[in-house]
Amino acid sequence: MNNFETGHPADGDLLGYLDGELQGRDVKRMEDHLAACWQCRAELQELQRTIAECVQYRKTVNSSLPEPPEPWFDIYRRFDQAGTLRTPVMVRLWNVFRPIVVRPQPWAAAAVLALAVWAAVDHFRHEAEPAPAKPAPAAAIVRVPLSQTEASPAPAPQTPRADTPRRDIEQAPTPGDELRVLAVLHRLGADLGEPVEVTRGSKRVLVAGIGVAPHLQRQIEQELEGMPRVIVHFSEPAAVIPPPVAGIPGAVGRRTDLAALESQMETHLGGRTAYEEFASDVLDTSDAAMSRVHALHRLAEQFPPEVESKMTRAERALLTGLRLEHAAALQNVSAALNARAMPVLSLLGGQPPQQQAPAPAPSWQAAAEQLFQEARNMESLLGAMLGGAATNLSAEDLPVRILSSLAAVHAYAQFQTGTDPPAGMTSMPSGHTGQGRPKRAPHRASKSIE
Amino acid sequence: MRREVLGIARSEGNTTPLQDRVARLFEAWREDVYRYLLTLGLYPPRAQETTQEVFLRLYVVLRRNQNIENPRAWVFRVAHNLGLKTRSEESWEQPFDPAIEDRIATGLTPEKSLLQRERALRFHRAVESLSERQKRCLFLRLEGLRYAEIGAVLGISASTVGEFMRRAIAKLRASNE
Repeated sequence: MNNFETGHPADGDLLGYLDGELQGRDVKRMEDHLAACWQCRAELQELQRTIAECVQYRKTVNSSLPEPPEPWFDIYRRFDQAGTLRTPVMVRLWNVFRPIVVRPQPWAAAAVLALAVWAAVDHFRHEAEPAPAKPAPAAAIVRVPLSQTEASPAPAPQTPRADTPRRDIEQAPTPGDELRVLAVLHRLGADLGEPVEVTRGSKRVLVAGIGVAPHLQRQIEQELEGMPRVIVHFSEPAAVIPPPVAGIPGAVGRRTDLAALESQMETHLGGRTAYEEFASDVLDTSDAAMSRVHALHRLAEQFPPEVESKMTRAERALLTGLRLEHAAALQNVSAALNARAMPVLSLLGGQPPQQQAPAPAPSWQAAAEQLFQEARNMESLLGAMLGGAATNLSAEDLPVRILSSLAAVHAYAQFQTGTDPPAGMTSMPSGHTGQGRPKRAPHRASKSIE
Repeated sequence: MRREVLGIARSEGNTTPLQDRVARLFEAWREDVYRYLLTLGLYPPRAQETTQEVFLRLYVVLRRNQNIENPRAWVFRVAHNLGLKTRSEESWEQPFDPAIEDRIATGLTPEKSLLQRERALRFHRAVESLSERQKRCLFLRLEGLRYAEIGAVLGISASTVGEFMRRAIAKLRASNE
């Protein structure tokens, strides 16, 4: 927020003040300004009036909505069932680190990975090595009872399945086992944005879900039931308390040059409503693209070249199928994103620069990593231009950088599917089938922003 | 032992202070959560089931001694996520439409005079014209969530929430000018 030496606070600052979102010195500055400025005090009253109308509107809506169809349940009667749910150490660890993984930090990635591996190995070791006096469970899939607590570490023996040989437990799970689990999740639509993680340990493949809808839990369990060396565990979400917003650049107000850019876009699009629709469409489409990018990135991380090379032919075909499906979907979404954004961005910032010669990518996995980095960059840039996120870039640079990034993401998507790159990106690799390993990947179009 | 807790007849054994606390929150907030889920497009039976599940999850988490700084924000975050999942499962159906416009127009809402109804209709249309994200930010703000908490629900930053709120309020204000 500026200090109002040269003008009045923006609407966003006034609303932030009313909402108690201004921090520290900004509150004092705002109060000093309001004490002196009748105009802004009147403006504040207008905002209050709109807020009061919103509150009235909530009453209107609530009075229009139907009452619950059934009497509310007696929650006391359900506590006993819910009260038995407990989370083992590994999932608790995941709960703790999940926010970091979801918004990856370079410094934290290694620590999280190390902890996850340690926890998985430790967990599986104990899980797969019951007390010698007890017969080893022979079930192919082990549903960890949620009632199991740390206070009673010995797992209750699972119902033996006579048709499953015991060697299923004793053999270490293969990447192929993990891949087949992923294929099942993909078929159920649980690999795009669902809080389900798959980890291959030394004894079993762990499918851990947090806050997954009960019916989806059942579907996943049913589908995975026949699979050897698979363990399924669902738990409830932990509270994630968001960090305070103090000190986040751009948390209040909007930079003058970015506000001017927004006005330009409004003009090009023909008004505020059209701009709102545009921003909403672009951000939603970008979200859809990111879910595919994350899915591809996860495949690349879980099945690096050295793992893929040791898989059977059928497993490699399955992996390729999954990858191509995500890549094709990404290509479509990315094309839609380009089509929506490019006309507006071109008017604002001219044509994107031609891509440089692509850097060699030794594998599709390496290319997926490049795609991931570029897509995150694209997401940040779009957030800065349309979503009010902080950026160090000037409004002048943003459109060109976004155009470059959109084109690069699209080229990477095409690269993953094995189709030709877009016109103008002559250096993009072409002609590979998507079945084998690509030889070259497009070069990163732009650097990440902070 | 028989006791009355918040109007709920209890005919069995002891209850814990945590159970009483969650029951109180359930009693106080269930209608808000249920109605929020209806505005997400859930049909009433699913909205009610989801609401009940949310509070059982709250109990489970609190029982693990996990710290929840703002239980109301937590409840709405979990309700929102569960609601979206439920909606996606029912993707073959049209989202639930409470026909608010018709109800306002026919005087079935608190706005009785013609002038009040016209004003409410104008406001409702302005809300409907907001983008989905702006609408979510507004509705969650109306349920008492702060920007950072709304951001945690929607997976966006607090500053982005601030921007969505600013645009939403500007548009709603313009509807009355």
